[in-house]
Amino acid sequence: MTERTESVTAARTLDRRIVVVWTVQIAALFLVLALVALATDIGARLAGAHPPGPPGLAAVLVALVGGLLARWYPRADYRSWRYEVAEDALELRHGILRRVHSAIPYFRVQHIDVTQGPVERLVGLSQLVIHTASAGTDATIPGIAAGDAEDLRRRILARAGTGDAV
Amino acid sequence: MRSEDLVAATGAGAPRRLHVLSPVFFAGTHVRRLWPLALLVLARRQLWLIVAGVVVLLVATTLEWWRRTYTLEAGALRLEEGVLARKLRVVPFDRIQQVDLVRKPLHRLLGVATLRVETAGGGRAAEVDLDVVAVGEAQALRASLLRAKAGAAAAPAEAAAAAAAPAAAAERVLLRLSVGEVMLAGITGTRAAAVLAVLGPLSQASDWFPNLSDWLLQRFDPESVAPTTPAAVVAVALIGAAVWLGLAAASSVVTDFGFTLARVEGDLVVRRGLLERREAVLPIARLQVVRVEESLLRRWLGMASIRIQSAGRTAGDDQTASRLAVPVLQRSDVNRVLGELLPEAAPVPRLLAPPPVARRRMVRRGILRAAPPIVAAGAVLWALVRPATPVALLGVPLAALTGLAAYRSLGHARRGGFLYARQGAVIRVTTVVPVAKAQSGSVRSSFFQRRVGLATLHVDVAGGGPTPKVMEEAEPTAEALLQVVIGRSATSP
Repeated sequence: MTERTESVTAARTLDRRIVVVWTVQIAALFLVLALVALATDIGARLAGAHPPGPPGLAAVLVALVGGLLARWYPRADYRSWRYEVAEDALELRHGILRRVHSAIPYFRVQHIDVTQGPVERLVGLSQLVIHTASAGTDATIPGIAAGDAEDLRRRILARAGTGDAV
Repeated sequence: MRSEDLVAATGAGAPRRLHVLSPVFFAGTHVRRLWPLALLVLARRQLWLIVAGVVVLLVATTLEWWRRTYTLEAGALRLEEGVLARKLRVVPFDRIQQVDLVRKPLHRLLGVATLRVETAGGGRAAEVDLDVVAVGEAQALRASLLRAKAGAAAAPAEAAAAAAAPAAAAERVLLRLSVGEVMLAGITGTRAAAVLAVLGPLSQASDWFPNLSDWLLQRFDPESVAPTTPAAVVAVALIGAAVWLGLAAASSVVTDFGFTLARVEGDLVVRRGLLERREAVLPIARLQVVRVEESLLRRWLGMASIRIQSAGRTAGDDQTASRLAVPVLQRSDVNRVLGELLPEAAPVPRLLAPPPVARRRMVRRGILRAAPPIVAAGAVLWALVRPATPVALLGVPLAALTGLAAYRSLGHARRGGFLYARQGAVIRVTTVVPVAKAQSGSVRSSFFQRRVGLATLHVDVAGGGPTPKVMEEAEPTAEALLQVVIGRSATSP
């Protein structure tokens, strides 16, 4: 347990590439929504209805909202994120409108999942999900470089020890 | 081939089978699970088919019974089962959270019981379900498991010896409810309260029970019974209320008849049930959270109820014995019972109210939440009795008062190893969390909370229930409490 003697680390930010992941995810979601809007629009016109505005207006509006959201949200969320591997606990701070500061003592950790979505795999990022005996524990760190995630997981588990957590 | 060698080495016990009648109960569950098939067989009305079905069922369940064994080993309960696909399960004693004994009417008739062993973080089904064993054996087994568990916590080597020792622990009754009290619990309970709230639109009851209205129409002339005068409407409402409250009382008696809360050394015992007797045993050290609930009605009557959360089972599965609650008790008894459940937690200290800015927030929130029903009520009045529409506006001060009451009940305290938090306007809930049981915590603040410097502390605990919260506290206070929750500052203020 060499980590135990290590001094308290400073708060870290997520990997910058998470902005790309979130942007792609939001863009993909709104692309689908825009296509649905377009299909509905065309379908309605074929059926003889007259939705307001020129053809495709709804789809353009949806795409516009999606574009703005995809531009703003990932950056803002990235800026809001800090996590800290402190001496005795993992601390997460994040949230734009709703701020969350959660703290999970290492000795409560039951297991840790490292997961990767398709977009995350493309850019080489992982997500760390820390589980305790409580279902309410909110401890997901998105956007850690794949190699670092494995390292972080090992470090946390090394500190977790073997306490009776319940 | 099996555990005999190991057992010979440890001397803990030989593999045992369930009660000889178990195949009958297995058959019962199979028939229930395969009811379309059973129905099909019965519908054909061919004797050979029925006989074949019964024979197949009997052979299958007998084989199943033959293969299913349980063994009390040195540090664990070992289960083997399965005719074709074999399954071995080993439950270490130190993971046991709760042991339940369930006796359905048929069980009671035949002198058997189902023994359930629950472990931390279990899914919906109990980890071990011994269905069925003779009552005496079930009780002895439970005593052994609990003692072995206590032994496992102290010294693993002695666990087996403890498991073999005879049961002779004295039981101390903490609380026993009379039939009247159990009925009172049903009448003043949340279910009955919800009923009272919807008594206004009683006429809709016919939509819920279409058959009931048919039945009534066949027997009574609608012209003569229809409530036409205000007095008749009131009378119908009163009769409806009486029926509902009667039902609430009756269902409460069925589930909680003979409710007894007792302590046997370090274990908590809860016994209840009219036809189906349930007996839950929970080691006190495994209690995660205790909630004292006081509804408006119960506060007037000077009563309360207590809910106990163990780590055993996920989200409130009311059908199991793991739901541990004291349905009703005198408010003056609360601190005595709390002291038995969580030593040193009683009495509940004076709680600190959140800062005054929270009051305005709670009042505003009360009004905002009540806005849709007020508007709806206004619309209904507009459609039916137009001049009475402004009456709906009375909802606004009422909502404001509710918000104020919600603020009044907010509060928190920290004493020793316990965190106390209170909330709720109508049903006031005081949550007592042993800090040592908190798994993690978080401080959350919405945009509007941050503008006035408030935040809410969430305490994550094991087991199903709602997350204990310290609501609308000043942000620095919430952050300081978070440090306590994660065990950074153990000293009491």
